[in-house]
Amino acid sequence: MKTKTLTLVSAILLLIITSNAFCQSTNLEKQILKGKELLYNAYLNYDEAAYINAYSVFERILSIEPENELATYYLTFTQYRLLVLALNRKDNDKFDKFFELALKNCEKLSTSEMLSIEGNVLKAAVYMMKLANTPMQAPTLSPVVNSILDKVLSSDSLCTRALLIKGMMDYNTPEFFGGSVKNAINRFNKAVAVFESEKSNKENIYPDWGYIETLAWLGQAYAKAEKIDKAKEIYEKALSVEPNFGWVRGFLLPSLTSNKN
Amino acid sequence: MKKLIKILVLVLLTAEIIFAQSITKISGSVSDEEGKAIPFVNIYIKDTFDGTMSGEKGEFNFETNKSGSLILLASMIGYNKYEKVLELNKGKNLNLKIVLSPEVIEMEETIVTGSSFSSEKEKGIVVTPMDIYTTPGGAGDVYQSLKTMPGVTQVSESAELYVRGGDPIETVTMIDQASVYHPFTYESAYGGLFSNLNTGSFKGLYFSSGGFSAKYGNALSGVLDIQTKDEPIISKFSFGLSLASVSLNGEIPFVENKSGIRFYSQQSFTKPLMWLNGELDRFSVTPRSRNILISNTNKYSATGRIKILGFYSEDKQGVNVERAEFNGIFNGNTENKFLNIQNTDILYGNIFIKNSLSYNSYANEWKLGILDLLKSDEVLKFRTDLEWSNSKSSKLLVGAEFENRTEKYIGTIPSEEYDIRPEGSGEEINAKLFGQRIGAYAEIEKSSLLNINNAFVVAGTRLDYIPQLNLNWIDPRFAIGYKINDNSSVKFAFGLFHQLPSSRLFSGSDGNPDLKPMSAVHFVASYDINFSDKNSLRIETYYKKYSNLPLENDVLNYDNAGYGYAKGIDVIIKGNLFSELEGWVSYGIIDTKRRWMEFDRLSSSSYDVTHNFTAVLKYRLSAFWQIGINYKYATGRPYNSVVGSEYHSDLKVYEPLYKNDNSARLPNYQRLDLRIMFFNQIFGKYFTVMYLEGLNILNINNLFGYSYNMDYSQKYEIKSYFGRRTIVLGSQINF
Repeated sequence: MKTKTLTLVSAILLLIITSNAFCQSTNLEKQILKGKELLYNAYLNYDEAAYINAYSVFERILSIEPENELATYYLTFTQYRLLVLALNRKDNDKFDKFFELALKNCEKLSTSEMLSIEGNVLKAAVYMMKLANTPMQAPTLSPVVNSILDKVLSSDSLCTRALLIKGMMDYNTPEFFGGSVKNAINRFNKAVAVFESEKSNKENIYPDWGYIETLAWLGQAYAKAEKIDKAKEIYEKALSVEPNFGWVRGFLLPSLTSNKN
Repeated sequence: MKKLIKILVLVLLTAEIIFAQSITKISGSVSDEEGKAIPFVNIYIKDTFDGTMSGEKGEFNFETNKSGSLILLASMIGYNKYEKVLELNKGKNLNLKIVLSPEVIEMEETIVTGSSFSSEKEKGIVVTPMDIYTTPGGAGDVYQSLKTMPGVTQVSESAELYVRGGDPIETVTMIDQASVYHPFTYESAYGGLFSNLNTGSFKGLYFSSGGFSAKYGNALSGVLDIQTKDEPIISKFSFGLSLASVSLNGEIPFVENKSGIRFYSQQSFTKPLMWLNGELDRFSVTPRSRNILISNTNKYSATGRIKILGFYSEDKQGVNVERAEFNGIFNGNTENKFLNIQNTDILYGNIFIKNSLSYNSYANEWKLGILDLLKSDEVLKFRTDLEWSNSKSSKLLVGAEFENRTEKYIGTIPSEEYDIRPEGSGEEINAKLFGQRIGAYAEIEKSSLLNINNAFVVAGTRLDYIPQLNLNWIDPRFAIGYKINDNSSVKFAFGLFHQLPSSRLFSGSDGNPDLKPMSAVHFVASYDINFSDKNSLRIETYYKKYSNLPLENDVLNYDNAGYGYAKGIDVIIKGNLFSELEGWVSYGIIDTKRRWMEFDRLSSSSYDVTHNFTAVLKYRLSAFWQIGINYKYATGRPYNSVVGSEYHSDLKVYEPLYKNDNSARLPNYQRLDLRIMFFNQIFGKYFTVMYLEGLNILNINNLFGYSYNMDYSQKYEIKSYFGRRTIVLGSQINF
């Protein structure tokens, strides 16, 4: 009887300890999903603290698994987002630092079997931010961005994020340098169609960002082409997909309606 | 059953106690070396997910159930990663104070002296390669574009920089740490017309017209420091064609972002241009030149890079010259070779090092009448610069350079300046002047001076030594600035500057080997304001006192009794003036006098161009068309007037008699250049630009000087280089 009791107590103790260990397990996929969600919310709310929180998550994943390609990808993506913030805040020191880090990581991703295309899209996006920060380098950087995107689109013409970045280049490049709002609209529309044909899955750990962002840029392109009603329609569609989309709700749509008035 | 329940409760309680005792709480704060809290720092235990971010006040706390010897990491952009080994004992909480040190910043100029123009915003008024390319009348030349900046006086239409009353030799040009003493094409007694440096190869440039850092020595007035581009990212080429030249440039990466090659080549042939503009009669050989620059860069590590850059240029011209005693053809030929090997890397920790080994060989031949002179100049130089960022607010820079220079003059020069006839009297010269210069400097840059956040200082000194002449000098340099707010600042700079006079003045036969270096003290005060991202204003005042200038001496040939001064105010407004109109407007007023060389009293210096006004404006007419103007107005420069002549019956030639006081002035200088540009894309891919340019479009009769009849009783005007309206057509395609 005593032996049986002792065995029972040991087994229960062991069960509790082990289950505790499971609760605190390093489930990398869950961490990646956590980081993805932080990134998404940071984008919706233009929140630097949330971006840095996401950055911390991916850094920690990489400290456990330095070769984890998905974590490298998302860390690079976070660096890209932080580049945009630094550009808007005119913080050149931070911009230069994130640019250097993001480019280094893009080089790592270029050798990935799984993520080389997405990595190259990120690389083009990072160079595009550099171009936005130093327009005087347009003659050098503009061909670099376009060359990378053309290569991606030639191997995958429906790569949504490549279409988004290429559309942003068409939108922001002056006409005499080859920019075109018409081309931008076409590319954004194509990307939206592909996004809408894909099934959304919250448990997807692979890159799937860009849908609402593309809608926001499509709206801007329509506005630039003076198709105000169409722009409004697109902004409202973006808000129906994501009511908390701060950029559209707080800035793009109100600007559109106030300009119209 | 009751017994079993009791056992279960006991076990659960035990488990709870066990786990409670195995949780360790880690808390604390994160700050920088100055005690300022750093938010958003990622603090975690290595190889785990246990961690947190620091809050707004740098505070953090988190829990972990790990125990034993573990590594705590703290990371934040801009700071070195922090690591600490922790001994985690179950239930024993830890409180830590983490201090992060700033990461090394790659060596970038943070010079805060006034009088600087740079390609980077932090260093003051921005001059970009695009500004250089699109300055009408500038031919895409960096020197011609810098002449539109205040502080550079319009003494002539050459590319040489007359900086605040200084001779062009008082401004030094450097490329990737190497000195370039002859950066011009078509060098003649009247200066070089353009530079032989291709703007397309520039990554950045820094130009100062006074009060500059101790990094730069053997220069009295100014410095142009150029950094060339590094490894190319993608392959691209451009082809240019105009009435005066054809060019082909390209860049090819071998390994993306690691190594590659760049080349820039140009062949100029000005005959079509001269023919179109009715100028052919001025030349027996229309000016022609070719230059090529090739650089190979190899990034061998994350921080290390080697760049090998070489350029070769040659030019030729034959110009009809009319003088009082002789009409003839001036023939000039030049050949220039340059090679530089530069290495940059992190030496250790926060110490960044740059080294350069360079060689420059220049040969120039002038022929006019009895004058037949070959001049050569060979320079071998080694330079090293180290930078230590010991904190976010201070930097220590040290460096040294060794230069070996050999100049030769071989040929025949006229015995008398006024008699250059082929049958005139000449002197044979075969002079070789050589020497070394060893220089070293140390400088500290500090922001938050005396804990005043907006105050910054740069203090340095340099020592130069000339072994052959047993000469040495020490130049202290100092600058202090105060940021009034994010958009405006005031700066004060002063310093001592030394420079050796022209080597020919040290000649044993007609010079003085015991000459001392020339010196100048600069005082500069400036106010900068940025109205917006693109618009800026600078107002600057300066005073330069010259001493130890070479002065003719009846016994010694030359001594150092010469002196002088330059003082003035410069103003520049740059940016988007309104809507689609952008550009800059600059104005400078200067008063400069010297007593040196042949001057027998303190007189207006030859560079005393009192008022200098320039407006460079570009207006975008549409998405594809842009129009630009470059308007210059300058007071006529001083010259020695001829007051009579004396006939030498033995030589059968008249000698002009000058009033050696620069009391006469040429007529005021005015010139308007107009350029129309058309931008387009061919086949949707190849960016092209075509331009039509009118130089001196108003056909204003600007003078270069005067020539005289045989007895100097009548004078005739000599038009400047662009004394007549000149039309140029050109295009460039990028692919």
